[in-house]
Amino acid sequence: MEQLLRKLCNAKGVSGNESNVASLIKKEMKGVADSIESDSIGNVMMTKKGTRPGPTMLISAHMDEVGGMVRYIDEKGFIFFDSIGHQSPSELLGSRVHIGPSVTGIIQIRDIPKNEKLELKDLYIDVGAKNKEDLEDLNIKIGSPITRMPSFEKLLGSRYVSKSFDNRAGLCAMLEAFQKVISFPGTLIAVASSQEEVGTRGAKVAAQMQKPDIAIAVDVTFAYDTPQKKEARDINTVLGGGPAMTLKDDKYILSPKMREFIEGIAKSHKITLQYDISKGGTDASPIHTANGGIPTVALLIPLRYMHTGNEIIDINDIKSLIDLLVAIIEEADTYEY
Amino acid sequence: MTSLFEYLKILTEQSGVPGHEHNVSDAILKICDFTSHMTDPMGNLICIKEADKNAPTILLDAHMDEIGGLVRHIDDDGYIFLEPICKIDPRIMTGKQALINGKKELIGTIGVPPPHICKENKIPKFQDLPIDTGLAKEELERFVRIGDPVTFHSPLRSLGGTKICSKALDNRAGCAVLCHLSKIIDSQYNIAFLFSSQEEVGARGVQSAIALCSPVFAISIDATHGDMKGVDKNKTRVLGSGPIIGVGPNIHNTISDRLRKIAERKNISHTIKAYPAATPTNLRTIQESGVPGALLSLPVRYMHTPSEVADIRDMEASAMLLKSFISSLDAPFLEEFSCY
Amino acid sequence: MLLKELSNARGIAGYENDVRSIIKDNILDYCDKMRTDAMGNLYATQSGSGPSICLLAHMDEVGMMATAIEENGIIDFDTVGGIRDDLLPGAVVSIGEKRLSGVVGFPPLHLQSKEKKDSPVKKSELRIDCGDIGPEDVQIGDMITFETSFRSQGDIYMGKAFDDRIGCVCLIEMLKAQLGIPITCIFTVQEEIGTRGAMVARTKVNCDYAIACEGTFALDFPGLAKEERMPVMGNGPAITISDNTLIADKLLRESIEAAAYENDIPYQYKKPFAGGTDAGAFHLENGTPSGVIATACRYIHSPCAVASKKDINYTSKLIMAASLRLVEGI
Repeated sequence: MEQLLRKLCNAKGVSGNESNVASLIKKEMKGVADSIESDSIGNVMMTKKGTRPGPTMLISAHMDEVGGMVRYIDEKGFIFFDSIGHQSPSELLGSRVHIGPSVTGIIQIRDIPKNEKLELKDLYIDVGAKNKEDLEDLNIKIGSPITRMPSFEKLLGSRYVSKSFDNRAGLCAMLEAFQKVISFPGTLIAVASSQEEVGTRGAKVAAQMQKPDIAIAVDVTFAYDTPQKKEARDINTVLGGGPAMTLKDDKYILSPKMREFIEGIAKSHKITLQYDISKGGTDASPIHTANGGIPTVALLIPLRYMHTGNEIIDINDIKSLIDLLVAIIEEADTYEY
Repeated sequence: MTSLFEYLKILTEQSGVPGHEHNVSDAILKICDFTSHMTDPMGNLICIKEADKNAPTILLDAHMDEIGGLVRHIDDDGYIFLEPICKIDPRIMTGKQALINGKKELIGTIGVPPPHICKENKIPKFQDLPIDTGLAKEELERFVRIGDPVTFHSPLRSLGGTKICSKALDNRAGCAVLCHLSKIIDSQYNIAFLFSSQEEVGARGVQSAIALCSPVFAISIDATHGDMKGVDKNKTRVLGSGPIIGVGPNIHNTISDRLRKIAERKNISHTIKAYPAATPTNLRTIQESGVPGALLSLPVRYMHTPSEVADIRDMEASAMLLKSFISSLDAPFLEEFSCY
Repeated sequence: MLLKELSNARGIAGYENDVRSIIKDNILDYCDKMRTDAMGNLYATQSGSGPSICLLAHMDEVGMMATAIEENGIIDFDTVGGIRDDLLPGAVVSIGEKRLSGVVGFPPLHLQSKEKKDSPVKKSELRIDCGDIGPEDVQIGDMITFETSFRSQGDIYMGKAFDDRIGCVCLIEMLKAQLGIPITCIFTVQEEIGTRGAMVARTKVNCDYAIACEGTFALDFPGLAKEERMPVMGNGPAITISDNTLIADKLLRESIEAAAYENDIPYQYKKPFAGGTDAGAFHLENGTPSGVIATACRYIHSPCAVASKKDINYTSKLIMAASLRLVEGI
């Protein structure tokens, strides 16, 4: 599993440019799925038939990552860019990025007056070019995608650091669970969805097209166990505390019935669940309102330093999420539809 | 009048924050006896008064949910802290009572230190407001867990004249109108009563429900602002002046015109309100789903506080108007929608 | 239940009639002498031998008064007694003799300017809305009280006016116990606006000791630091060392503490130099040794206070025990 996670994290896939991740998934899942298809918005859909009749379950994990796009190249070959997905300019400053497939650059800042707020427009990328023409030779042009440098590494114990754990960690859990399940009811559709970071666009299309009876969104959420974030009164999702189930975010509210269902399964399989109440949204938001309403749950992996180049996760959370996903898929027909 | 008041009493008692409307839909089913009904995964309740299988369906919509919060944290002393589900003014919370709807219904009070100790007058943060049930943490956790819904506790009361006061009149008042209407109408068309969920968080319920009904057109009934001291009169409508018929790009003229004509013909007092932009109601989503719609609003004072005030005459008049409107429907009218 | 009846009864300063008649009905059979004075204070005396003790509890509660009737059932009001402005918006109130319901209206966020949204609540901007009323329904000067129904939940009671209907209940129970000692229970008026009833009452009686029985604040509030949380609800009666009107007589206080100790009654101290009671007025007459025993309630002076059943019981017990001990001699 660590190998798959490493490969997924190191792949490049800014929202709208997920083809590298998509082909990696297709390669890895060959022979596992009954069918693998892509759609026009970029989703990859893997289908597996169950061993007995039952509901159609859709699991969605987005495969895109936050990144950037070349906006302007000046005469000297410095590259100005826009952010895709929300990122903090101060965190971007000084980090290493890849433009296109493999051109390395570093993010620097043009001179701004003291005390002025750092804004994205003041940042540029230096690839060591002497002039604009150097870049044309490398096929870097306006619109070229920018991603962080691959940085997958093991930390102490069961923790890992990398770019794009949001949401390759979730994607990895979904793919592993998809591989593992053998005896289950109905049909399983695993969707590696596109364009989540820019407004859960891929999942919306997938839910409308696939018309599932029940759905799971797999994603990551904030772990509030770091020094600057600790606030006693918040729901304290911590690293290593197990998968977190969203009770409410800005665009989705968990139904009491689904809560009972998931809690029941987690309990009988002795999987510790955490709860999540957060800002923002996940693929659960477009899925749960699609098609006359689809019973949907969002299961999230706790993660520190979201949308930075050094996100940290605990691999045990992924493992227990895989166990939970497998259990839910196998018992999908026990939900009262 | 009496039946409307009784319905309202039952309906406003129920706790129903977005995503947790089952108490309200259960109460509606107890009040009305529909021939068939269904609920969907979003928590919508769809009740059909069927005339003929092949007849067109007309949708009447009122949302069931109310503002409130979810239990986010229980501290060591047994105080409950909330996560708001929609935007709630923290200034109206202090000194009020809350209904915590866990395994057992509990009442809590949202207290502040007494004036002897604390004279400062500062706007609190919603997340910092403590709800006190008087129960110790261990006992409390037997009944309440994180994620349980919380609403105001504010039973229905009569004020002077025909005015009433309660929490959640937005939009249990609309639900009560539909309950009342379901008992008095008779139509050659199928009438779908949609008691929708999750309106307060952005019309999420109606989005999925509309697909299940496929109506010819829809009328949404919701609360809007009543006249209040110190508020621009143009932005509000006087309580007791009857239902408010909305006009604007979000609303299909054919229906709103017909509603106005019928109100005039039947001498039902009413007012008109213009919505130059999208209406902040379910209607917007209904229109975006490709279903022509109209909006009937009830004036409610002090919206989204524990003590909303409405006039029961407005609800009666709305039911009368809808009844007359529906009995006036005929085939030429239903065909008119697509003719411009 | 007595506390329920008294908590639901209405009586701001100067309008204590309802409360007084409930108390009268309950104590009539238990006192040797009962009288009222021109101010409205109610005196109930039991005779006996030994030093005499005055027990004080006030009948009034914090509330509001109608100051102007505007058009369409809108009433301007002012508070009577200390109520924080921020407790008022959205509160349901009961107005006048007819007990009309009204609400303190507060416009929704949708219709407020940015400036208004960010400013704290000011009492002067609030009005009470009581629907369609006639000219006879509400008069200027009508009493307005919070409309809160008393309830019991687990180990606690919730309701309004626990300050000082809890004290009234304790005194009534004292009378009912008929301990055979010389006591005068004084149910005072107008405490919340400056212990005015007690100022008159102190001239009408002669006593060797005075003890006020109160429903005071509990400070176990989440925002407050642990060391500031005194008293705490559930930790037994709160004994006053000093407040803004009184430094409790040391011997009297020690006697109360000794009585608590001897009778296994837990007790705690009230935060010094905060609030004031009728005992403050009493000790200024002839220097009568005075003290205060109180039940610590959360959120007094608000529409809904919370008090522990155990604490109320202990407070009542402690008043009896302390009185007996005083009569036996310090």
